[in-house]
Amino acid sequence: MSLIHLNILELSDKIKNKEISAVEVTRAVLEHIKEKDGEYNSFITVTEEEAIRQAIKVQEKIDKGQLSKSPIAGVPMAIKDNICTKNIRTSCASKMLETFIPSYNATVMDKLEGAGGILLGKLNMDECAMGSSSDTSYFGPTKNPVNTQYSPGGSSGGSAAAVAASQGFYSLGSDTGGSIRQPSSYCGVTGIKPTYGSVSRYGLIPFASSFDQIGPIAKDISGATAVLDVIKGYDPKDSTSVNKQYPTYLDSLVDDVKGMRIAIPKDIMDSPMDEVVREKFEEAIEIFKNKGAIIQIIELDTIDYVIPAYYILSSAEASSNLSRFDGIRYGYRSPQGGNIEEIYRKSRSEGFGQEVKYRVFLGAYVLSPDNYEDYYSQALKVRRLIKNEFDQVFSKYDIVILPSNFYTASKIDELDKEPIHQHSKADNKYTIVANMIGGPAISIPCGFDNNNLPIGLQLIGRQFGEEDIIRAAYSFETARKGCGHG
Amino acid sequence: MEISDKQIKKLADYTKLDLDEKEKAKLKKDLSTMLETAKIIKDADTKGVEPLIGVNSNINVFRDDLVENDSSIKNQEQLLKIAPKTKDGFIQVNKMLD
Amino acid sequence: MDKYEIVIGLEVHVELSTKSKIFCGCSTEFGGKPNTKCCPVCMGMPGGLPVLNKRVLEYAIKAGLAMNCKIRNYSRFDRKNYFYPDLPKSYQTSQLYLPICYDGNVEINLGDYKKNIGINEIHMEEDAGKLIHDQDETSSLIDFNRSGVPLIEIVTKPDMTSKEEVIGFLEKIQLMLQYLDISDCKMQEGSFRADINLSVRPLGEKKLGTRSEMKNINSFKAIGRAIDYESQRQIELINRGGRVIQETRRWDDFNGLSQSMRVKGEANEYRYFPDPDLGPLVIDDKWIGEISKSQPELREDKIDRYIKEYGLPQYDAEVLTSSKYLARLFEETLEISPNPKEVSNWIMIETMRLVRDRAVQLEELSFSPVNLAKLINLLVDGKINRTVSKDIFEKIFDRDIEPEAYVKEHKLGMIDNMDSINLLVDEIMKEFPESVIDYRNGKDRALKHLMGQIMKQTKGKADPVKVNRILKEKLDED
Repeated sequence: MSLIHLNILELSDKIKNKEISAVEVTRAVLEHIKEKDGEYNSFITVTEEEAIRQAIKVQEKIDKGQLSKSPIAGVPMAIKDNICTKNIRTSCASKMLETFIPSYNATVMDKLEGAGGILLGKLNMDECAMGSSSDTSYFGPTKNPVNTQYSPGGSSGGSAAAVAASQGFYSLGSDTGGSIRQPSSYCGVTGIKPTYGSVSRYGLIPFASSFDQIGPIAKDISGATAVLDVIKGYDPKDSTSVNKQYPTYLDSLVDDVKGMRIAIPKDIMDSPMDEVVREKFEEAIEIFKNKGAIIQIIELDTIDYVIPAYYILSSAEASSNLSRFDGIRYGYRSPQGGNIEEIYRKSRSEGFGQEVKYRVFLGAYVLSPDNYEDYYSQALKVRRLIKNEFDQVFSKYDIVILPSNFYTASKIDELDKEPIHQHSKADNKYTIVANMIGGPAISIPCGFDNNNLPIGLQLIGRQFGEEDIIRAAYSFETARKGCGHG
Repeated sequence: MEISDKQIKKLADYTKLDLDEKEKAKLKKDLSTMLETAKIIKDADTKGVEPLIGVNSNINVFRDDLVENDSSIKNQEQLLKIAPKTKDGFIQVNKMLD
Repeated sequence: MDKYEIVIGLEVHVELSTKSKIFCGCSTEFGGKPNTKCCPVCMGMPGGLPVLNKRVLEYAIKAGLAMNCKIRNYSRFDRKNYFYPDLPKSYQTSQLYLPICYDGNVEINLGDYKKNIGINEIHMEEDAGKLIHDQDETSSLIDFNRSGVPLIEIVTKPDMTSKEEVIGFLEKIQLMLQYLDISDCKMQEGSFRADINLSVRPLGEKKLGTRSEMKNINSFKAIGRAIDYESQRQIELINRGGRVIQETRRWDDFNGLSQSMRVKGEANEYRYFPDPDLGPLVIDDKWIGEISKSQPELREDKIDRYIKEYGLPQYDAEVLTSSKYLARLFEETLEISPNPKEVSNWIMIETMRLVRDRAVQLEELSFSPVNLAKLINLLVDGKINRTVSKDIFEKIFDRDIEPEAYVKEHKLGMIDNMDSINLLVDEIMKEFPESVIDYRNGKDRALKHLMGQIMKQTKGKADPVKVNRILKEKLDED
């Protein structure tokens, strides 16, 4: 197996045992990115020189016996381009921020650096994280490395594609309504959306503040868990960050789901779905059953509220969050701008793509005087109804499982060009629901369809229930490896 | 539900975003579809339900009243480096009639 | 022509005197080079997140309690969305739906009558940056040093009907906030700004007229002028058959008129919604109780106490409490020199005279109350005379000298020991033998002359009672 295809923990061990140096592996991955990224377009920015410099520094530390406790020391990675990196352009895949170079790091970036992470570059995505195909990027669409005729999904398409294409051993994405899990599923990698408030949002360019969460993507659950262990935790710079004792999630990599209570939503049984996806999902259920989990079908009353409520709330928050991009203090200022009103209108109209504009309009619409009560305020109440119902579910069950997506990746030239409608797909409500209630969720590979495109299994947990979903995911992965998959 | 041109204009004023005719037509269609789907939210029975604004139970998150940030000229340079137009340490826009 | 009544409500913005900004650790210090007291959070850079300065909340509650408001047990921040170059996030983090304080009142005293002014609410919010239009020919310049400085906005009911009431109210709360030590309330520096919502209606009419909102008023004097102008403008407009529109007007104090800025939207045009970046504030009665207990003594209580405890006249008590700096000076001086009326006089008369002569602000008074107290003690104990004490006070006022050492060094103390006085009397009797003879011949006037000569030569420092006694003894002896 070539160096670049190792998993995180294997590589980390080899570096610690001095079998490979951080510099060597960094050069190898950079070489691979150079060779292949023309094809995938996973990266917006490759930070070659900084990466090598960082690798030398990290190796020195390792040689001095530092970083011995870090599971990611010397392991090269890349992060989504909506996570701020000091002195490195952070574009959000938008013309608006094409020249934006932050003077500050996101907290997660500080944490990765502190643990000896080596940044290879910034990853492509849907503009401002709005979309599910990574084709609204100002820097052109990302392609699915499994088959470049297909979309990698989105919005963290670059993050999933880079890991799938071994352009880095792990990546960070952000997930507002499924933006880590859906591309992970489409690209055949493992992505975690952590509990809201368990990973700092400081330095994440916000889409919808009450939904956004940064999370790791890796080839397997052990890798994603190792990264989550590094980035999780309380941050006094983020008022929504939860101050508590966090367990070491790596301790949950245990092959045992005996007695675990697993729920399956009933409505997915009747939902249109690719037959192979259905088959693979049923196999997954069998695996859990065989390992002694207790599986039950549940009915959910509030699930149909999820998508419209999400659209109302996330667009409202986005319309306000994206207002700061006004061409005054940083970012794109239209050369056409004359008076202040023109600077605003021209900079924003020229700086944002269509999808972003639509969502901002929608958000402004639901917050308008005539609509606030009917839509926005109602959606907040409905969000509580949804949360209440899932609190009930999680008082009886440890996790909820279902296919991450009911269909595999779409062909790029057949992409529905109206992403707002894409979200009316039945599976989206189950990725969105995790953001709606703030719980953690994982997408883990569970097979391939007839076109050899990856299929994902989603595991949703209760708030701060990472240990349960990681244990279940690890048990599932172990079982599949045992059957010769993997 | 139909969205009127007047409403679109109002939204453009709010958001400082201009749309061309094609975009406008598409937005109108999208908004209408969206509002169709959102009808169940409007009609949901939420009597006695409190709005849920944040999904976690964080309350009373404070910082102490301490000056922690640099206020040197270097800080100013750092912050203004990425500004589209500056003058004498200020950010500059075309003359406004105040 | 109908008689009209003026109806005024106020929105008062007060900058709180915290060390750091409301949501980040930048300094709130006034002045300095532009865009230095800034960071990604208060510059509205993407990914910056707010964390509330606890002291801002406590100060807002203090203000609320002092204005007899109810304190909300569950409060939140909302975003007020609008674009303006001095507003970095293009929304102001403020409070609309659940402001921290509500439903209060402040009593004002207009001399011949008292009146209660209702307080609708007090909420917390962040200040914007500063736009400068007159420094550059072709451009406007923006400085974000003030962006994120904490404010409270006090919103009154439309309970005021004259400029006297408005100014009375503003002076009252300005003093109150200064006593609470939560704002320096300097109108010129913009840390105390009042927007005036004014409408007129025919006398006797119950319904409120349409109001205008006037901004940019920088002194109490300007407030009076602005109210006169705007009420006149509205009345004349109505009398001409016109209609007042709801709008924001800018007061131009130089030209003495108000100009329309923009037609004002309703609050919900700002698309307010709860800020998802900031969690709720849950304030229990115990906490409110603790803050309440820590409230300093406010003016009314001080006046009462000065009268009851110190036996001061009402007038003295009012003057001394008209500024927290005077009240503090009074109380600290009194600790070392427990002579209330004497201390009061020294502050009301001598201190205020020098304050006027030297044209200093009360807050700039820099001499130590200890030195004033020592001076008063020297005087009261007869160690120095009043003339000397006034001279020394000027030196205390200007240079904060220590009076006891000064008196000793410059030999300004009273001559009161017997040996010195005996000597003085002997010398003066030698110097004016005719007067001695006159006295002994029964001319009592000669005694007065000799006394006068002694006082003249000692510049009044000789103890007159003792001198008189000894002089008489000696004259009667022979």
